[in-house]
Amino acid sequence: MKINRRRFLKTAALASATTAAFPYFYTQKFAKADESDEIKVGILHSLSGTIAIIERSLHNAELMAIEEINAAGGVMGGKKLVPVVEDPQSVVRVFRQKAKKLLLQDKVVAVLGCYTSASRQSVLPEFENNNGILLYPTLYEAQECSYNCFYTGAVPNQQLDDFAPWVIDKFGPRHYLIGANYIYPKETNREWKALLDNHGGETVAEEYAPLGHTEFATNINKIASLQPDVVFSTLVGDQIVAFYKQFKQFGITAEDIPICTPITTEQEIKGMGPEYALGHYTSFNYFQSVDSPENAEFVARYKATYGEDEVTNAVMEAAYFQTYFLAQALDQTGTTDADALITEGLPGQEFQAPQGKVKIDEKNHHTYLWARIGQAREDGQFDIVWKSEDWIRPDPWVDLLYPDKDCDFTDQRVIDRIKSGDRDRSGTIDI
Amino acid sequence: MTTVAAAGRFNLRREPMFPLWSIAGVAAVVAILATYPLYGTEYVMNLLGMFVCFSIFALSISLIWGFAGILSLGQAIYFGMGAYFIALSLKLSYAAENPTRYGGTIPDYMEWNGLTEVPTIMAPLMHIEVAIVCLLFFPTLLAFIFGVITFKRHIYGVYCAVITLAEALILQEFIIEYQAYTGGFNGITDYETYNNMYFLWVILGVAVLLFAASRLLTHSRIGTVLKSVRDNDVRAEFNGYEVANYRIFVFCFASMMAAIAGGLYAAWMGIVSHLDTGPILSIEGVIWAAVGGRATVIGPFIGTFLVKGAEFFLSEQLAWAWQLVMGLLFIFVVKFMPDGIMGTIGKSIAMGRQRAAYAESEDAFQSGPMAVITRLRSAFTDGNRGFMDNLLGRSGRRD
Repeated sequence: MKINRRRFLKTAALASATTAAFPYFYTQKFAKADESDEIKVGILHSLSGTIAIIERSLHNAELMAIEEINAAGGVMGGKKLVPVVEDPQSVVRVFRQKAKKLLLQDKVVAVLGCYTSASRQSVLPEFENNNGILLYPTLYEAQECSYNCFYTGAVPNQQLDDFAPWVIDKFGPRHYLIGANYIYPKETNREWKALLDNHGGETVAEEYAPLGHTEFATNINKIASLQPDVVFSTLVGDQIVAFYKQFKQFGITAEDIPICTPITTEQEIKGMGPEYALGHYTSFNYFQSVDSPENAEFVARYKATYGEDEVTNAVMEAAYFQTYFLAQALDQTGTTDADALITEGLPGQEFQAPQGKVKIDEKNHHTYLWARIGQAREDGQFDIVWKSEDWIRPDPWVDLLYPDKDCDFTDQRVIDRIKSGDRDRSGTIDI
Repeated sequence: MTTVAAAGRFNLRREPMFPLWSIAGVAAVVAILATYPLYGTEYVMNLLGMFVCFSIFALSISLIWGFAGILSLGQAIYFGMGAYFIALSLKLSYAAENPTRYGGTIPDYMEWNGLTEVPTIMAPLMHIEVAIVCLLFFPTLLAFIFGVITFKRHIYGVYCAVITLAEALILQEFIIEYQAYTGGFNGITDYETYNNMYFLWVILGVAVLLFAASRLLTHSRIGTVLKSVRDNDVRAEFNGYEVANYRIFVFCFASMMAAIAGGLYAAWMGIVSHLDTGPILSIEGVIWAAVGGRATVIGPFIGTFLVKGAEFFLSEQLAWAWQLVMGLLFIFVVKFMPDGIMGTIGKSIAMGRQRAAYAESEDAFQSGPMAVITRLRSAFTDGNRGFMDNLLGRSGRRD
């Protein structure tokens, strides 16, 4: 069959017209009615890929909280929270697409999700463009505040401000800093160095290992020759396990040089074996060993649901209580309207969490948390050796480093900017 | 078998460059995709645009692997380079135009890493025209250098695969390490994206152009040489073809194609990270091409849509077991369709044609005065059947 131009055009036009019309009728069939006695909540944590281990525990904690809330009668006078679970596969691109899906297709009232800063940053534009709500449970480097995000994990001032003077006082002023080479450790170390300056400490060395790098012989040799008083570590993930192991295998004990860190949780200690972490220190808002009735119940229920040898950790706890923040905000405003929840519902929300009473700050979308210092024990749990007297206000633009910046969503300039439809939805202001 | 001999004699019709069914099919698919935003959801539109970008990427792998026999496990290098050029360009201009966003006119990640201004070498990228020229030039140049180093030294096959894999890892590490310039582990995000119907048309237009160009290439004389190089490079060289030059050419062409796909992807998605340059995406691309049919130009499109589509569908419906189902699907394809979906279909069509041609020949020469001559001739030429079988026109099959 020969093809001339007329035949080509005819075929192409005919095929295009028929097939273009077809899906129109097809999609009409699937237009669904709203189910009004259910409120959809997105759960966006990786269940596969490199960060799935930790993210699955957040996913579990959130599902458990939703179950509890529904069992206690639901929200807004008997409506059930329905989790819409997505697996973003530890890939930032997929995070972004799944966020889009949850917002546009499922029309969820809010999304509980993300673990790494990379994933949060990848989804934020999506939440800002579509006026969604993200509740983010991880400790992070701060210097950010988005109108569409609520941050329920710790920011550096809540973990470091009391930790640094305590460490200097107890062990000495000479600190060796080691971290993974990306934004969180770098920012945390900047803050730590500023605190050292303030409290008479000094940095003997500052070294970064590429992410995923798990061979620390040269660093440990250097530590042995420099003999610092303290190793301050901001290594993450598998690196933590490798570093603690190699540190002990080299023959340095926690009595010689303690490792102090704002990251290592029960989860990593379970991964490396408690004998490697024994005696080292972690600063966190929550430990599984926190002594409170809420925590006893939280741990018992988690173990009953997901297995006796599971451990709880601080990020999980935040994932758990942020679900309650959302439920209470829905109850209080009586609406699923995003702007109402963002401006009235969530700010100022309080909850008696396992770590103690927590509250979302009225102005900056971050959360008041408690500070604790724990020393690792033989059983992989922490002895809490110090605890703050009160909850600590979150300061996303730490005063020590950014005295002229703040985050305030009640500031008229910010309100005007967001109302004007500006794409910039951050609450950062100069003061 | 007799069928083969008969087909060789009678099936002289060459497949046309653009058969009617393929024109109709492509037009239909393009029409569906192009009009989708009018009635579909934004989320699915976003997925479709991404699938088309990935399809172009898979097509570039098909060209070098299916048609030229070069298995690259680092094709995402070129995809990623294209994506980073465009993402950087959009990010730089976005930061410059929105000074309140980051409290300065440089991208947020540069500020975090202690830069106070955009490095001079990167500043021209702010103009999208410069970025597009870079996108077309640098990945192709890199592919050329790589081609000269490996193909000219007769490094093929599995060694080539290992080298490309290493290259992809190196680029990924490089991007993570030089985070002040590349955004590091967090990648580049939060810039003006082109996620609308008009840009979808641009993507589709580019896809159709590259698809047609690939078809022209593989059905040209060069394409024939490439296939012969794939099937037996020693013999091709012996016949006087400079095998390395053909390989370098197709490798450069495919790399430029991958870079274009990456550039479209960056503008469409609004996010680029080190994962888009690494071995995982490269290997995914190889899978898409393999499932669709690596030695066809339509196969990569079908493979990408099928695998990516299934991935998104299954990960929504079966969040806990979707990987298992995908694994079974791959095993099925490798075990039962080693040529991929389109390859298998193409083969069965070709076999059907051969049978038809053979049947035709039997009819034509079964009776009449020519029959005796034909039988006599084939009795001596067709060695697969017995001499007497041929002479008497018996089938010769004794099963």
